[in-house]
Amino acid sequence: MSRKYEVLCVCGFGIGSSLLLKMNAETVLKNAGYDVQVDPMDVTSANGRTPDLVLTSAEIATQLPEFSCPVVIIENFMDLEEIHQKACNEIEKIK
Amino acid sequence: MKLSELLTKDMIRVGVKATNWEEAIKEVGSVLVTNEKITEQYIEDMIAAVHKFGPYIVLLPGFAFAHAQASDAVKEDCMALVTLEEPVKFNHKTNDPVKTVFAFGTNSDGGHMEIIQNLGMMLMQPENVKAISEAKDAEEIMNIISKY
Repeated sequence: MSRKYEVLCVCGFGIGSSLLLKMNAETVLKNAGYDVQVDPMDVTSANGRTPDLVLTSAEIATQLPEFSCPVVIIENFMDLEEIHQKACNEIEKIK
Repeated sequence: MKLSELLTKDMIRVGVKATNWEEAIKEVGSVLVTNEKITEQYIEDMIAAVHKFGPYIVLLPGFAFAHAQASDAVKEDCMALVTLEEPVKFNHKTNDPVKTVFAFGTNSDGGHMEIIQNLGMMLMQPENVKAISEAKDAEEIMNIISKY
């Protein structure tokens, strides 16, 4: 039985680019057959959360609180191929 | 909410002059100030955001999505778009130079998911991004925007 994975998409403010990243991550992960809950979030609110996976940009990754889960850096938030490869790869590892 | 409900023709400028990314954000922000959607403070916030969080707002090759935190500097949810006469660099690893600068402002944390999704749908089609960057006037851009 596969479980449900919690994915956080973190950007500076949680109002714009993280929504776009959430939308794209949700699309590719669901298409890949994973049961996921994907939430957009700003850097500050991400503090204290315990997701299975974090997706964010290179610069924001350096400003994030410590996560016990993998933090994956996405270069192009609108690149479904990149998100698919990187996110699915990590989920396979923690499966 | 459809993209064209916020991104109306008044919110679009074509062939704007800017010599660097800060000027480009000021240009798109000034469209929102002129239309009384934001105060000058929000322009400063959008620029500060890039200094703080880096150029990840360059979502696609040639396309930047300027925004900052939801605040009182935004009078109502708003969007604006400028295309630049000459592209500028945001120092993004893969998506420079930027020809189209889009700005988004909101004063609430929620409630705009749908319009951002519509923006996403529009951006997913590379031909839309290309056509916007090459458009000769706001009318041409509206023809694309109005589908989303």
